Amino acid sequence: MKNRITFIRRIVQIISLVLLVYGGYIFKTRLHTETGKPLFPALKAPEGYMSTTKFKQGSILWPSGDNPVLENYPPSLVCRFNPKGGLFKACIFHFISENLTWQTHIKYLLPHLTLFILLCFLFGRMWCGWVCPIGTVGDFITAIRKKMNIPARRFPDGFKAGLRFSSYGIMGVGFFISGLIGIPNFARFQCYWFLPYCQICPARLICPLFGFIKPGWEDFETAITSMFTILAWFIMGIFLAAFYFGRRIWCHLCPVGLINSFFNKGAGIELKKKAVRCNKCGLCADACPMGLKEMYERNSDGVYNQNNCIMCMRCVEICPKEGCLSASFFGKKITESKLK
Amino acid sequence: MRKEKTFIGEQYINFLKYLTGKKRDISPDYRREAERYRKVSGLKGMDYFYDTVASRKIETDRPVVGYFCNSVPEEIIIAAGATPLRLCNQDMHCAEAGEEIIPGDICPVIKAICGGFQQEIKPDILVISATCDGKVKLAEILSPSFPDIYFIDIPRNSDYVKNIDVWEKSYLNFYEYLKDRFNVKPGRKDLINACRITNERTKLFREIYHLRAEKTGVINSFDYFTLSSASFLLNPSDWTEHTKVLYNELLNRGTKEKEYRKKVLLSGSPIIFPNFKLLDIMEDAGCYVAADTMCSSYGHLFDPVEIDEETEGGIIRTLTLKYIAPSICPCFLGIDKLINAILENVERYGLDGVIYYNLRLCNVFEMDIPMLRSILKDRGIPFLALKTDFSREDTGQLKTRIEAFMEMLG
Repeated sequence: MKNRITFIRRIVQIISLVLLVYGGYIFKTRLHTETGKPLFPALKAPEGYMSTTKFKQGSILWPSGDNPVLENYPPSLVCRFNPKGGLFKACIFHFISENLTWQTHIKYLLPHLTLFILLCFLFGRMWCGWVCPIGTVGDFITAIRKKMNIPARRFPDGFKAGLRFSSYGIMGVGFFISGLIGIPNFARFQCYWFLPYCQICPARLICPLFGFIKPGWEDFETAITSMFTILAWFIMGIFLAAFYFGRRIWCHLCPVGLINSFFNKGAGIELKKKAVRCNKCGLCADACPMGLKEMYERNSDGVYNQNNCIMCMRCVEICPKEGCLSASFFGKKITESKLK
Repeated sequence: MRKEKTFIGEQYINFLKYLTGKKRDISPDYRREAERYRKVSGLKGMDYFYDTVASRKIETDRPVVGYFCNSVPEEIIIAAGATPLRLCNQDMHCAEAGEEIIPGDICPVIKAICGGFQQEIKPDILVISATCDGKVKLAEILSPSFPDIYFIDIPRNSDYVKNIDVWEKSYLNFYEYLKDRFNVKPGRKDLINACRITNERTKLFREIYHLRAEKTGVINSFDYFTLSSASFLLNPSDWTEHTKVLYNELLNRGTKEKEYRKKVLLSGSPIIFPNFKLLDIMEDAGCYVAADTMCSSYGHLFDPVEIDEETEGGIIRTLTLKYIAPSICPCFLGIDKLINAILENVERYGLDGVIYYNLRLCNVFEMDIPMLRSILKDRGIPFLALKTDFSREDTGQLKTRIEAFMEMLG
């Protein structure tokens, strides 16, 4: 088969999407009820949290962690706006901001963080390319663009660096607000400013659609919720345009990807180049959905895991020189480039 | 290109008359040479290719698009419903004919191409890419006699990052021009189909390339370079079809390790039928050409089109990554590709040395020599640089040098 890796990746993406979104329905394992024992201690809102805040049940800010129905089914709560969430909070950004606000004790956080770091250590930023439901939806939009015979828009390196810089800003502001409203003096702001990043994330409008429930797209009750709703719509528009025209340019901005990217260098999965076999055709740089050029530019042998690499392995797949690029897992070669 | 014939002087009119009027039949020479090499080869599958290069005639009812250099995309020409024809020529008699208008100190390939228009082959359109200076000026010289000359502008730096957008634009312009010229509307299916045809050729060529390097003596260098020269004249699909037969024959053929003393890599200027002077000497000296990096064979056939996105713009973009970015032509900035290609082949197939063939008066090829020599010396790979042209006067001298090199290899 010509595009073997992409084919496998698409299958993994679809399976992950189904598992993450409908996993709760598929594995009806009760872990937190009176009869069953939990695998991990569940992370949920502190006792009495619901009575002190003014969340309305069913509103966009309703903390899913406190709802036993929403939390009972594994494998995961991929996104807080998922209809049936579960044990593992796949979106690390949501996970951290929520617990910053709740001031959760470290001993409850630790198993979850360890699991996250272990997965990152093994697979680096593979989450973005192989699992992330937003990325899967985006790849679907890209496929539509290809069918429409519109060539991809490419962006200069400086623009991408700017996006990554903005990503740090979004992460900083998001965590700062989440931490700030966790302080008792500011707790009265929680009903509006809870999870500021999640409120503007495009997943707010996309993820509920998979569960056939109404997304919070008309929450214009107060000035602040209106602001968040309008921002969410605006960012949703940018998201669609970014994936339609610019392949994975969105992923340079995503703070979840940013957190994952810290683990890319030194991850168990490695992209290697054998420089003497390279004919400098630039296909690896041209086919990279993130538009990274390092694999092309390097002139010596080595492991080139870049921070922004989403480990889709498209470069290894498309390289027409035998054994020039290869992917390995802890030194064991998984796949290497060859002429199709 | 300019269409008004404004700058034609007396000498030029004479030249044009010479090109169009008097026809000297050079096919007996070609046939004689082809017969000679056919006897040596003993491969039945080669007959078709020797016939092709000897007759130098193409049978097609489609319009013919002639081009000179490797950086003209064949896929676009095929998709536009035309037949690509590479006009590169290394015939001594054609070079003599071209000397009537081209000054003496110009590369013999340019002269031979110019004189080659005496022959039967008359393309409908001539496409010239801005690789070397000689070919650019040749376009200007030929423009009054050829009303349809298209010039593909390519920057000298073959770095992907710097120039990909320029390449893409000039290829897109070429595509638009062919669409207008032939009044066709090719879609992306035609482009994909054209890429599939050339990719099959590439795949087969690579198999022969590896087979040649691994089984010493399985195909001699005359056969190999005739095969690549025939690909200039043949449709890619015809070439693939007939080469498949040859490939099966080669698979069943035993090695002839006793006939050859050493395996070398041949690099440098292109070798095209009938200019096999150097190959004659090398075969005599027992020197097996196990690999090569020539733009007439390796550069022309080795790189595939890998389509990333199946959109019209996307395919044309990846075409530049087949033709320009990996180009080992010394006209471009980027000798690292040539060095990589040489080192890879030497390392992979365990070759004994490198022979660099430099066509006299091609300065850029000569300027690569010092750098190659120092790099290969560092790695302990024997290196021999030869400088010659089409005439057979220096045969004895070349023979001495190659034999001395073989002695040095041990």
